[in-house]
Amino acid sequence: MAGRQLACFITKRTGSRSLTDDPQRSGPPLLEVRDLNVRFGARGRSGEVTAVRGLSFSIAPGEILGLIGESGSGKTTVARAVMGLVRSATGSIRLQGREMLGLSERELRKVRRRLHLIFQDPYDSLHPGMRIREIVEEAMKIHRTGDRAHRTATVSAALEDVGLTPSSRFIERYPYQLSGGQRQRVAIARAMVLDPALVLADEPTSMLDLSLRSGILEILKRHRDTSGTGYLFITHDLALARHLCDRIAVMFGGKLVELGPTEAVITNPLHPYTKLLLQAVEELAPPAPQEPGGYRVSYPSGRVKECCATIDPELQEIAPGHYVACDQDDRSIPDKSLLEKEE
Amino acid sequence: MSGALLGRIGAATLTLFVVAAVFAPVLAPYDPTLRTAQPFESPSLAHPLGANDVGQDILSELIFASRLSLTVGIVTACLATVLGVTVGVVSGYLRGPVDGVLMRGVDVILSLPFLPLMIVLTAFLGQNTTNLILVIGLLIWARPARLLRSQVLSVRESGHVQAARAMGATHGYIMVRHILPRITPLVAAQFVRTANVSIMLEASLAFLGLSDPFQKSWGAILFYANARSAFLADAWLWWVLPPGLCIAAVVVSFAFLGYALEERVDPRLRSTRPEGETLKDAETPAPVGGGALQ
Amino acid sequence: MSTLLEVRGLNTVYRTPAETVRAVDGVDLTVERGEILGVVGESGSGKTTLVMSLMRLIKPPGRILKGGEMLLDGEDLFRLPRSEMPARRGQDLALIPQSAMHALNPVIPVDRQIAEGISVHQGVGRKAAMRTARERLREVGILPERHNAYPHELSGGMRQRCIIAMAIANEPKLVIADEPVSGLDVVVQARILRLISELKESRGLSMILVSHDLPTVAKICDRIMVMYAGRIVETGKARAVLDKPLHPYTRALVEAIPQMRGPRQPLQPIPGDPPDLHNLPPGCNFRPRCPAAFVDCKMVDPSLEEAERGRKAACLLYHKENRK
Repeated sequence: MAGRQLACFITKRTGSRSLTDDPQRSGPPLLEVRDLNVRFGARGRSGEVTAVRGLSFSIAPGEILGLIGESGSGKTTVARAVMGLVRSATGSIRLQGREMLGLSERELRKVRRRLHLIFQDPYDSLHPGMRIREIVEEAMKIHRTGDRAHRTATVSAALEDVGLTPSSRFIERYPYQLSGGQRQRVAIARAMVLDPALVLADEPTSMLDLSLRSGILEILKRHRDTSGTGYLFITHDLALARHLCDRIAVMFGGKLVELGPTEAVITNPLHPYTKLLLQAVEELAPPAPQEPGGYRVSYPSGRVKECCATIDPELQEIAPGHYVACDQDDRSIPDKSLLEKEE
Repeated sequence: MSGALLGRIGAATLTLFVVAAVFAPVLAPYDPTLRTAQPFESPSLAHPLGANDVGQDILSELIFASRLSLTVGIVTACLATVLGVTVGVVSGYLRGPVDGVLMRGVDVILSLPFLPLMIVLTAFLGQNTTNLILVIGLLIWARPARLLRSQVLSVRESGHVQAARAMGATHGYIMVRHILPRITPLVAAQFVRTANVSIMLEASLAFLGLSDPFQKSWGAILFYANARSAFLADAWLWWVLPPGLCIAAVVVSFAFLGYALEERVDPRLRSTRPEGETLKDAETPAPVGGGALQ
Repeated sequence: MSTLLEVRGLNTVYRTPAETVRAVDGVDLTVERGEILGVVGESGSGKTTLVMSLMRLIKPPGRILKGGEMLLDGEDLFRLPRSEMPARRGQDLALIPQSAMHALNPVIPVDRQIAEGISVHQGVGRKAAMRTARERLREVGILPERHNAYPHELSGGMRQRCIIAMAIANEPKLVIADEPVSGLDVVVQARILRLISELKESRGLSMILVSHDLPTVAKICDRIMVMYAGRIVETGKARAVLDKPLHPYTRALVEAIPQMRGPRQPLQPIPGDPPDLHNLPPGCNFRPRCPAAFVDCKMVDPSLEEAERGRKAACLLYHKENRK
C-alpha cells in the first residue's frame, strides 16, 4: 500500500511528534483521533457508504479546532463518532488518553459526562414539554451530580453566562416561548453545566439570523477562555471559523484535505478545495457545471491531476503545523485560474 | 360540529353513565336480583321498563349492568394501553431485532380472527369477568402498539432525543422522559379507542352467553332477552332497545371524546417553531412560473 | 433605465380576533428594468410576507389592505380580479421559492415539468414547449444529458438551477427570489449567485432578491432595501450601504459580519431580541436595541426620508431637523 508507506515516512520525518499536533502546544492532547473510518450500510453490499476515511487530528485542552466542509463531507459523522453515537467507527479516538472506540454502552455513558454535543437546530434539540430549568439541569440529573439547590444555582449561573439575564425570567419558561437565538443560548448553557472537557458544536449558528450569530460566537469564545474547554467547531462558513478557531481542518469527501493554523490556512491555502472555498466566500465561485462525486470539475481543466481520482494522497506537512493532502508538485495554482470559466 | 363540542358532549354523556354506575344502589328502584314484579310484566309507573322472565325490574337491571360494562371497558382499555405503549415505545425506540420480534408478534395478533378466538378462549378458560378482561385486553393491544411505534420512530429522531443520548442518558430514561411525553396525546386517544372496542367486544361476548352468569352486563341482558324470544314480542321495546341504546350511547360518546382528543394536542407539544416567518422553515409554495397553473 | 415595478403603500396585516399584526407596514419600492433589488431582513422583518403580497398569494387571516398600488409596467396588479392572477404569475411575475428541495415534483423529469408550464402559459404545442424548456435548462448550466433527470437524481445546486430555469421559462417581466441560496453550500451558493448575475446581463433580468444574508445579497444586487419589523429602514446602492451603513440597524448588521481579511476583531453582537410583531415598542421599532437612541426615538416613529443623495433612512438621526 503506497499510502501506508507514505504515512510511515511522514511519521518518521516529523519525528516523535504525532502527525497532526499543533507544534505551538505541548502536553498531551485532549482528544486524539487516529485513522478514523466510518462506514454506513452493510459491509461489502451495494448500499455501503464510506462517510469518513482515515481521519486523524487532535485537539489540545482549551483549543478550538474548526472542522470545515460542505454538506455530505462527513463532518457531522465525525462529531457523532467522537460522541460514541456511531457503531461502525473504526480506528482510534482517545479522550484524555483513554480509548473510546470499543467501549460498552455503559462505559460510554460515563465518558459522555466529559463531552457535550451542541446541535444545529435549536428548535429541535430542546424538549418542547420541558421547562428551561429542566432542560439545562438534565445532564446533572442524568449523572446524579449535586442536590437540588446546587443544580438550581448552577442552572441560573449558566443561563446568566450565556446572556439570558435575569435567569429568573427564563428558568420556568418553555422552549416555545423563546426565540431561536435564545434557544441556542439555552443549548449552550446546557453544555456548560457539567463543565465538559470537550464541546462539539455542530453548525450551532447556521439556523440563526446574522445579527444573532456573532453573539453566540462570543459566548463560545468566552466559555473557552474562562473554562479551558476544548472545542470542535463544525461549520461550512470559513469566515466564522476564521473568527473563532485556533486551527482549521478542511474536510472533503470524508477525508481531511488540509489542516493548519487558522491564519496560515486562510492566507496561504494549499489544497485546491480550500482555495475554492475561500474564493466562494470572498467573491463568486467559478461557474463550473457540477458533476456528482468530485471536486475535479472545480479545478481548472488542464490541471486536474489523475492522482485525485485514483489514489488518496496522505496528509503531508508543508509548513510547521500546516498539512495538506495533495500530491501535486505544483500546488501553487495561481488563484486567478480558479475563477476562469470552464467549458 | 367542532371537535371541542363533540368532546364535551361525549364527556357529559360518559359522566352520566359513570355516575349511574357508581350510585346504582341509590338510583335503582329495586334490587335487580329479586323478584319484584310478575314475569314479563309490561311497563308501568312502578316498573318503567317492565320486568323480565323471572320478574326482575329491567330498569334496575340496566342501571346495575352499567357497572360491569363500564368496568370491563375501562380496565381492559388500561391493560391494552399499558401493553400497547410498552411494546410500541420499546419497539420503536430500540428498533433492531427487538423491534422485529415484537412487530411480528403484533402481526400475528392482528391477523387472528377476533370473535371466534375469544369465544374459544372464554369457553376454555371459564366464564368469569377477569378472564373476559384478560382475553379482550390481550387481543386488542396490538393496534395501538403498531400506531404508537410509528410515532415513536419519528420522535426518536428529534434533536432532543439525540441530545439526551449524547449527554449519557440511559435508554430507559430517554423512553420515559423524552419519548413518552411526546406521544401522550396519541396515547390518550388510543386509550379511548380501546375502551370503545372492549365495550363492544364485551357486549358481543355477553350476548353470545359467554359472560359471567352471576354478573349481568348490558350484553348479558340482551342475551337473556334473546333467549326468551323478547325480540319477537312487543317486549323488545323495553327489554332489548334500552340496553342496546346504552351500549350505543357509551360507544358514541367514547368516540366523540377520542375525536376531540386527537384533534386537540397539548399546546406545549404542538409544533414548537414560531409561526410566520422563520429562516428556513417557512411554508414552501410551489415555484411559480414554469409549473402548472396554481 | 425605466421603471418596471412601482409599489406604493403596501400594507399586509394578519387579523385574528385577538389582534392585528402588521407584517408589512407601508412599504414603497421600485424596480428598474434590468435591475436586481435586494431586500434584506431577519426573522420577523416581514420579508416573506412582502414576497407573498407581491405575488398576491397571501391567505387569510392575512390580507393586503386597500389603498396600495402595485404598478407593473403601468398596470396595477392589485386591481386585477383574483381570478386573473394565476395567468399573470409565471408570465408577468415569477417566484423562486425558498426551498428548492421541495419545490419540484419528484415524479416528473425536470424538462417535462418546465415544458408543462410553458405550454400552459404560451399555448404552444408539446414539442415546442419541450424545446424551449431544454433551452432554458442549458442556459442555467444543466448539461443536456441531465435534462430528463428526475429531481432526486440532481444535487441541491442543480435543483436550484432547475427552479431558476422554471422561473425564467416564460420570460417573466419580474422574478422574485425568496432566499434562493440559503441551505446550500458556500461554493454552490456562489455559483448560483453568479448564475443569477449572468442571467441579469444576458437577458436583462429584473429581480427582487430577498434574503437574510446581507453580505451575500450585496454581491449581486444593484440596490438594497433593509427591512426591520415590517418597515423599510434603509435603501441605497448595494456597495454604498455595505461601505457606509446609515441606519443603526444596518450598521450593526454590517459590524456583525465576520470578515475574511484584516485583523480579527471581536464581533459586535446586536443587543436584545429580534422584533416581535405582536408587541412592538412605541416610537421607533429599533429603539430597544439601538446604541444611538435618544429621547425623541421613544416618541417619534421615524419615516423613510432621504438622508444622502440616493440614500434613504428611517432614522431620526438623518431627519433634516437633526442634521447639522
